[in-house]
Amino acid sequence: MNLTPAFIRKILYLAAMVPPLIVIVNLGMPAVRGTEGGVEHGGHLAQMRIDNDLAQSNLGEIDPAGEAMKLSSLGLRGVAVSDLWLKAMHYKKVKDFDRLSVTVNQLVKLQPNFITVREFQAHNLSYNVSVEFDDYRDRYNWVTKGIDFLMDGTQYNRNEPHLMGSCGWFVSQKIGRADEFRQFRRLFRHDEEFQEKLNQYVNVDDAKSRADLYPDNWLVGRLWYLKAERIVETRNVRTRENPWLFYSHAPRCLISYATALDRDGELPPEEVSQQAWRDAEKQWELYGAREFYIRNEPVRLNSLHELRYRANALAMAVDAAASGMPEDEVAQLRAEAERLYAKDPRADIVRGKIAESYPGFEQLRLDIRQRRRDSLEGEERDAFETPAELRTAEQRTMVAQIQPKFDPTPEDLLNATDEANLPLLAQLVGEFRELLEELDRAEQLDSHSKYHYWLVRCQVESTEQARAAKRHLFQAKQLAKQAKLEKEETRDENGEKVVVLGAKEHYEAAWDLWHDIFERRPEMYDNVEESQMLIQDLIEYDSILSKLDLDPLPHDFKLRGLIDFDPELWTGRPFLPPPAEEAQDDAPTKEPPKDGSTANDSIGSDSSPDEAKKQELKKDKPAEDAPKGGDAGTDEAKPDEAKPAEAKPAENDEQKSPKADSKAKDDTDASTGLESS
Amino acid sequence: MELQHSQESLYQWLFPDVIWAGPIVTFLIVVVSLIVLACFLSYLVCVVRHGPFEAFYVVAQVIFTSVPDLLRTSPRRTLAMARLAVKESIRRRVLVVFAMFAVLLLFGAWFLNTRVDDPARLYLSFVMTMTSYLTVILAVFLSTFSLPNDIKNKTIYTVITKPVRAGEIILGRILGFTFIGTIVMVSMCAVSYLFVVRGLGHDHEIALEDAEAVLAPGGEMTAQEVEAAPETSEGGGHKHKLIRRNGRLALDHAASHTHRVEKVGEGPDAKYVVGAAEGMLEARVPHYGELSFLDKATGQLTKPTHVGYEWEYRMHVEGASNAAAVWTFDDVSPERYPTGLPIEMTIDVYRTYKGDIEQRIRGSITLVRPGTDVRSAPLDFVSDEFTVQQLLFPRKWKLDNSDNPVDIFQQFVDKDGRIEIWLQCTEPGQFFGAAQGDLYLRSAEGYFGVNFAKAYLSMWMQMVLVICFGVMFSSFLSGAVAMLATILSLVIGFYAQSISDLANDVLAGGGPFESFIRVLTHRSAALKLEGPAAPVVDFLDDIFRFLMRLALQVLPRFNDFNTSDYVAEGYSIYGDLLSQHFVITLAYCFVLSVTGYFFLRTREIAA
Repeated sequence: MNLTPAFIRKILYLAAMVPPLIVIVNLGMPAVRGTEGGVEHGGHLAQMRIDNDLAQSNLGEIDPAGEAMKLSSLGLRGVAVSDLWLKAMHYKKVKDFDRLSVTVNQLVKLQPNFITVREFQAHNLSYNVSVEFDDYRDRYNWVTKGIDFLMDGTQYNRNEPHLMGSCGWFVSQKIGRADEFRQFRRLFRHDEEFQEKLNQYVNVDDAKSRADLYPDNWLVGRLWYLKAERIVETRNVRTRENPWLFYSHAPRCLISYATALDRDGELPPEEVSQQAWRDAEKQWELYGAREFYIRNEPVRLNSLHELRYRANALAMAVDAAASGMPEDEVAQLRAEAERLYAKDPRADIVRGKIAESYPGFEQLRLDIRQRRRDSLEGEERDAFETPAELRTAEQRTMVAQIQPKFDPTPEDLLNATDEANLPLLAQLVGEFRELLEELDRAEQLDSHSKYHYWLVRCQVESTEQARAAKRHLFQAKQLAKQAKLEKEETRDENGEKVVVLGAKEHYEAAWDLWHDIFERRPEMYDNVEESQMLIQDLIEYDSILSKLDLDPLPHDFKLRGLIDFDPELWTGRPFLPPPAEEAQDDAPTKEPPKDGSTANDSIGSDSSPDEAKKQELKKDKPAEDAPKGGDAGTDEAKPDEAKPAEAKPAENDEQKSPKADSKAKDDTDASTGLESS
Repeated sequence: MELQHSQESLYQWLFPDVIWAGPIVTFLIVVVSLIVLACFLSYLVCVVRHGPFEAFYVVAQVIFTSVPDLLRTSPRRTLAMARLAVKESIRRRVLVVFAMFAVLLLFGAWFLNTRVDDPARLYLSFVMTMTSYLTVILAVFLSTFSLPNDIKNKTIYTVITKPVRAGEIILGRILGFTFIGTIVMVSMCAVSYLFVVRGLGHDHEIALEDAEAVLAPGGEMTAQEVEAAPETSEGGGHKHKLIRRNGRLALDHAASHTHRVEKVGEGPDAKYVVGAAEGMLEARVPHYGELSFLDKATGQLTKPTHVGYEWEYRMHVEGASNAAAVWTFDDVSPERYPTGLPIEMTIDVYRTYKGDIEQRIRGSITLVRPGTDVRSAPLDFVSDEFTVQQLLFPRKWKLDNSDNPVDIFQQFVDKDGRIEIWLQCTEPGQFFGAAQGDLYLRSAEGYFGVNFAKAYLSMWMQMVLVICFGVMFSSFLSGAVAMLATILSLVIGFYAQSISDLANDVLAGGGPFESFIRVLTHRSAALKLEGPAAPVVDFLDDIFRFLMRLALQVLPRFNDFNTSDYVAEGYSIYGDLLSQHFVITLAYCFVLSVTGYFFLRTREIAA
């Protein structure tokens, strides 16, 4: 062999190639299936993929077409993806939607595990492309294409609950809440081809509506959410959403299903609707029993009531201990209060009963209030001494600002009490603080999930009263379509006079029933946005009044509170103004929740009936602690009534609205009565 | 689809009103510039070799001797060269490409889903894209490696030792490879045609009781009735709903087509027969008009309404107003349209409020004699977005405000054969959108097969261009480099629009240097590039943009040769478009052959 320079050069090249080759093999050698079934570890990268569950085979099915495309891009996958993405944008712009659909399918073949791309483009198809079509059937067709596109992704990403959640969202929300929801739901029910596709992923037979035995989009959506839940629970995958939100979707689908049955145009059979609401209630209660973590501490939504009455009872025990009550009596009072709250959650009533059984239990609190009230001077004193109905706007503002400061904080009580009471009081105050923390977490969760609102809603909707109200509304609409607006007198076969009710009368009957429902379950005001359909019905009723040349609705119309939550939704005629004498002292009134008072409503509140007047003369409290409204500290409040007009100075001269009530109540909740220290 | 609605003739294209913007002037400017540049560069090279004075003579000699040399090109020798190229190609087993194509078609049908909205488009784009890719790849490999391999293997000596001119070698190779490419393409065209026609051919059946159930109620069907209507049997991966239209049985649009339904027989023997697919595999010959818009208040000519779409292809007219989209057609006569005016349109609907979701928007078509107030009673229609709606304006129609039918050609066509067609939306607050190509008169019916062949002819010209580029590059570059150069030309030609946007600074993010800095610094394209380097980067980008603009002027736009959209949408490819493509191809062939000739002639092959 000649050692020519060329040969030596070749040897050197080969030698130079060896070190990088070793590195490459060490890094990139693929994992292979071993002879005994297990995976033999490949290079370092392959090992990392296995450790982090990122290997394609761990993520989901392997798509041969996609793999072929990836290979044929010769390492230029990124360039190909960018090109396809630009093409997709172009096709969307020029409304070449068929090509858009083909392009996005190619795109995800190159990036089968890039979930965001799939979700983005599915949204494009279902939401953005569908609305470009004028015919609702074409729209529906594109909505289902987007869903199909998403569902296809779940094959290749079997550990992605978010993707399954998106499928649930599209099937339930896009079909069930679009402007064309009636048409979409109808098309969905009869779309056997799409149902076949769905059947490959979820068992559509489990999602048949009891009303007509066709699959319902809300129930199918729920199946997807349940599938996502199973992935989270069985494969130890984390959700991208907050768990309380993630687990709320499936039971909320049942609620939406029950709602949709009533909204589809025809009233479903009574038992079907009632059963739907009961099923929803049951699942919602199970959701409420789940444990979630807020600020790293466990909370259950269904514990809120219990926490509230425990906190209220403890607040009374604090008052009693501060007033010098012996320890065993304090314990008795607390147990009694808890028992009473469990029976009837209205804080003022419980406090009244306790005051009867344990006279003077809150003596120290009342004394402090009185002292603070007595210490007022000048304009402030004048404002408080002026009867409420004669106060100027300025005085009302002043009263609203100062009044909450009268109420003593636990620290005030600790400072003011006798030495002998201190150990017990300190222990109770400590316990109370912890309980308030827990309550705060539960309330925070409840305010996000609206758990109690929906629970009450499920309970109310399945009642006979609500069913009757809906029947009246349905009949009213039917009669309105037939231009039978008012009652008519006709004669029956026997020549007897018969009065046939018109749309107006049916509407009015419905309003009476709804008013009664809202009065009895004022929690229904907590999420009035959900009552938009009722407001639409009210608008229709107003238009009937208008056609009949009747006056608009009176200023104190019984469901006025519903409208005042969001006056922008009201497109009917303006309400009749109040008579002159009423108008003088503002505010048509909406009665706020009577029995929905929170723990904080009563914590440190002065709403005990026999204390109401005394409490007007209580002392100040730091300004930053002032609750902005609600029952707490409102010494003008009747036992069961809040005065948000005073609570919110800015709204003094405006009409008092339930929205303001609710806001005020929320704010009060946030400031949590005694928590003000 | 954005239609090439102007359909300018070859003459108009070659000699437009502004002659400076025409292709001839552009061609001459580019050719002269290249000649000057080539002479200058050759001179510089020769200066290095021979000194400034002798260099001048060398360059002049080459130029002056080349003219008679080129003129003496012998067709016989050229054909002999071509024959050699063909033999070489066959020896290199290029026909394997056709076998690959056949295999693709054989298995392609498995993966082509006929359950899409427009299966015809899917099939056509599949076969045409495959043909285009394979023939372009074939052309690139054949044309770029042949000459360099001959030179490398020294087999070229057997040729150049004979009295063969360089021009004949170049031209012979171009012709030979084109011949081979043509054979492959003709075969592919024939097989593709069969594949498409057989793949999309289908039949449906209608159950008599379904048909009778649909026809029984009478009147127009509501949207809900259509939803619940019975369907035909499945064919071609789809079904059609049976609908009642003007008291007759019809089928709805599915998979972008419909079928005519005929009742055959009476009584118990009656049956409904479904005809051939309409709207699929067609070659409509449209007669386009000029579009203008009328103001909603005054009814005078105005700028159209823009509803805010990013794509400004279509402009809109407001409903229940004087606003109208007016198409003026020339050359309209009863001889051309004996039964009336067959109008076809694709109208965009834009709702400003939801209205009745289940009802489509209504509109009307009116005929107007240009320049007069003579107008017909409106022909009402219901919009059907994203489909080609067909309306026949009958020969006899009423005048506006009159019940007496008149002959539309006598009343509404002026002495120059012109007529105006007004499109209006009749619902307040809703809009119709239209572009010039969206409404036309269907003047004739072409043959789908011929149209299909025309599309392949365009692709053939595209392939010839690639061969010319490949042979030209291979005359002075090595095989691999020539291939890369040809592919680069192809890429620039295929992405001409994007590159043009980049070159003209239309795209956000700046030129390549600026983009590179943005990538490195993660700076958004929306933010202005700042800092001391910004002017330098701008300057470098400007140079790059200039080069890109130059490249765009010199290289053909290969995408323009893609006429598959016409075939897929069912429009006949008009002859003038093919003529334009032919002229472009011829011009490039000539220039590239001559360029190749000079490169080969000046190359020192023996070295």
